[in-house]
Amino acid sequence: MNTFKSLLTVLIVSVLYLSCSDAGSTSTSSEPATISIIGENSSTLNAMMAMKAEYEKKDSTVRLNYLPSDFKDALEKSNQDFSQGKGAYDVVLQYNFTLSPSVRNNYVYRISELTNTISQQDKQFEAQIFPALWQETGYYYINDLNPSAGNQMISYPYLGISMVLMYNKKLFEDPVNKSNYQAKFGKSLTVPTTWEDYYNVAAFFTNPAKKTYGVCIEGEDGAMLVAEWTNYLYGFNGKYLDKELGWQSAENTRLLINTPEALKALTYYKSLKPFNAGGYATVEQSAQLDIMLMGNTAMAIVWTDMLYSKLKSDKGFNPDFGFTTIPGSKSIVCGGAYFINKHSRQPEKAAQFVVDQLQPQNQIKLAKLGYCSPLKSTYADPEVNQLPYSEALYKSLDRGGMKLEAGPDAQIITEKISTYIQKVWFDKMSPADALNEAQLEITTARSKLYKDLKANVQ
Amino acid sequence: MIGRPWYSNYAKVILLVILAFMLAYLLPVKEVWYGRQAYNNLFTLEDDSLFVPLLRSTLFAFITSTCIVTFALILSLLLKGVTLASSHALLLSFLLFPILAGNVSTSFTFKLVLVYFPNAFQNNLTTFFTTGLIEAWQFGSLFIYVFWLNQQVIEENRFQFAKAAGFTLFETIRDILLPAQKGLYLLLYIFCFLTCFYEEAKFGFIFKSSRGNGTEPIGQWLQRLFDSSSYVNPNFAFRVICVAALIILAGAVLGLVVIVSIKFLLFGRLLRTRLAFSFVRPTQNYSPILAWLLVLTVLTPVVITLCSKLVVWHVNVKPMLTPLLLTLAAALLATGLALLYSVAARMVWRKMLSGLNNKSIWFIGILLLLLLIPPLVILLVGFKWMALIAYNSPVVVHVFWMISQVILSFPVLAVFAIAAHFRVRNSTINFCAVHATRSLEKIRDIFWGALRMDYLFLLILAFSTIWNEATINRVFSDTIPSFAVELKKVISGRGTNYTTGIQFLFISFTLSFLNIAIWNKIIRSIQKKGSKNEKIPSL
Repeated sequence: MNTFKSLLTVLIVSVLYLSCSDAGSTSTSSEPATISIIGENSSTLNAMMAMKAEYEKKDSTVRLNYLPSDFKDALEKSNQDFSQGKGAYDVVLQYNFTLSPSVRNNYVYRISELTNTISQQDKQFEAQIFPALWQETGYYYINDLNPSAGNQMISYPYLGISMVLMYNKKLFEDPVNKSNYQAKFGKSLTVPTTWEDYYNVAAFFTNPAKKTYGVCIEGEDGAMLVAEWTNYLYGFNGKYLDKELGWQSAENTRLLINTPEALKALTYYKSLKPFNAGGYATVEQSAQLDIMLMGNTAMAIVWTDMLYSKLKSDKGFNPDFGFTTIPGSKSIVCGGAYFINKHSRQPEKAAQFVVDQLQPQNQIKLAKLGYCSPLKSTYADPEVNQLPYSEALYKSLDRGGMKLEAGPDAQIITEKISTYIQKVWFDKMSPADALNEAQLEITTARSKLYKDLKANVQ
Repeated sequence: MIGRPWYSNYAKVILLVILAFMLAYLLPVKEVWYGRQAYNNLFTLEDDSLFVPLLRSTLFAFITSTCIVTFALILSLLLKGVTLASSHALLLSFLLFPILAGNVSTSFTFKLVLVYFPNAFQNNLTTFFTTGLIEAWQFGSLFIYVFWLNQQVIEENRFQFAKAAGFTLFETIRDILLPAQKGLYLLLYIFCFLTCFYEEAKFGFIFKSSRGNGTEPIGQWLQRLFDSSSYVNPNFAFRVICVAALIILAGAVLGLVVIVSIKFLLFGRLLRTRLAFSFVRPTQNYSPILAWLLVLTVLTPVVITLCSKLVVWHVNVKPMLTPLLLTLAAALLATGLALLYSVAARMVWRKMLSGLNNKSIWFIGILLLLLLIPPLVILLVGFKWMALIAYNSPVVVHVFWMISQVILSFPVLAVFAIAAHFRVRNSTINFCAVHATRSLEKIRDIFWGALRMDYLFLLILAFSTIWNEATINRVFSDTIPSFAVELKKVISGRGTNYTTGIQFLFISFTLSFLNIAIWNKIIRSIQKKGSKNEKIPSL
């Protein structure tokens, strides 16, 4: 009985405490309006959250409620909210592959519908957005059932990221390494600018006895493996589909998986296996950087938005690593857009927030906190330029040329390609067989997808 | 026939309605009907059909569960020399640590530990083997403890009779120990099978399982199907998933029925065997040494993690206060409801629920059916139900969170309570019925008086289950911070920060040790009553 009374007392106290706790509020007319922003927990969102107080001071009628979430949670919660029409999230920060379903199902505003009252001066940043980035992340078909009708602007990019070549300066600047490389290859040891040099440098630095390696490749199944693979595919002039932009895709768009270019790329990719550090299949973007930070791997192709949090400490940036564009003449251009929910209760305020975030002076402040800006002007700032990856990122976003899949078939292509690349890596299949199987499987799956799309128009 | 109470029929109806509600809540029947044309499509995904991951998960669950539960039983037999009254009983409580730490904490702990053992996942065979070992660490230790606890209620005079009658060690095990463990063995087997069948956290987080390297479990396959179907629209994706989940559920039920039936028969054969194995009865009591070894095995990964150079001994507990209190409240509610349900069921279906028999195993199976529903379906159904409530009202969100947690934890708690109530004799219930004892008195005297230690154990398990729950907490995490969700955020994805992750792990370990300390306090109070020659309440 005493135990029961104790437990009952605890229960009553808990209920009293909880009923007094503030777990959210409904704003009345005198209280600020809350704009809820959901996105992936990342250094990007952390940088934006650091500027929250400044914005709320500027606009006292608004309170920002950031909801950093795990990637899958952010995606599923926002999708569920869109389809249920509850308007729990006003602004959704998502990557380019959500463009297609969000626009096609009429879940989000075209931002131009909400910025009519905003002055042209405040929209001058538009001229500074990297054109290729904007096209990839913020535009979509006017009518996806009739692609020839043209494209329309949906929203502004909230992020501009790419993959750059990270290299270990100590290894490259070591006089012994320089001398040995010169002797072996007849040329200076420099950070590679061609894929042939990339292979040679990777081979040169690999010495399993000394536990040094040439490269560290992300092999975790899914989007990250495919993103890194895309660098090699485009580097050998291959592509996934016969189209110009990542989100473009229709039933009759030609699939280009089992081409000679893709075969060369996959054969080359597999040839890097002896030089690879880490367990491949268990290495994702964070683990890849952790391996690089151990200091015995020469190079890795890394995401720029991971670098600030991994390399910055109280003492400044880790000086042991340098960054440059990946070999070849093309780079991935990737990011996401500000999606304003069609069921948002304050869409105009949400749009004002978005426009404010994109003001050049705010973009500079964000960039200094690790944010990868979609504006060219940001990278001209001296302090932003001091970030070790800044120049490489700018050049990558400027040259572009590579597309990550972002159409309705993006997930299908990503998961099938990832599966078959892993099979090749683990010697379960030859590159030629893998590409043929992938082509067949993706063709079947795409055909079914487009049938389902037609049958389930909302 | 002994007179049944007047409420007996009403109680039966209410109990069945509760069961039906639970099934209806978690089975989106309408969606399955509308998505029925997806049946054919699931069998024409060429190499990517659901059969391969389904078979893989079933085999993994079968082999792992058989090994874990059988070895746990054997080890518990070897712990016979440790009694509830001994000091080593307090030591054995540390076997509860892994289950109290939870699935996400366990996955992260072994992610850090396996850095030192890269060969643990060289290929898919080593991956499955290592995952099995981690499951053994997490669940096997609990099973050893539960088997050992169950041994404590076997009357001492039976062993004295066996000794006097000259039983061999094998005969003592076969005729006294194993019959008492048969029901529990099968229950734990079912529980372990279901848990291993849908294991995703370890496969996904530690080993990065995939179709490409031949390690993809069924839960991950389902998630992939959902992700690609979502590009059509979320409602379409939900229908496809519901249809796939139904097929998976049917497959798992079939597998489980076959396997449990075989085990039921084999166990029965073992108990009836007249073969005589001559095991040498040990002259010394090695049980305390085994107890120490087991506890050291359980705590070694914890020590390795805490000694990691990433450890930063700074913990900010303030954000976790509200979820902690909510969890306590939900645990009390869930345990209370599970106990009320199981008490009512025991009183109403006296013959069926007097022990584990052909009928009661079906009853328990229906309760556990809810565990067969893929976590992804539960998550999506949770989102659907959230659409019906006011997001902006914290009180409403808190209430729905509590209801969801109670529903999700109800099957396991109710089943363990029903198993505990097997020790309540029908003769006792009938005696009270004949003497027209009031219901509250019945509950107090028959159930609470005799089984309160079991109930308190159940409360601790309920707290741990709800605290570490990682499915429905994702739905509510915008309003109610969840430990499991917050931990997941910092140990995977673009926001990975192992330093912060270890701080969360520290919270998890602290709570687990606190729960063990509370449990040990309860055991000590029992031991004190025993030393005063008072009757020790049976466990």
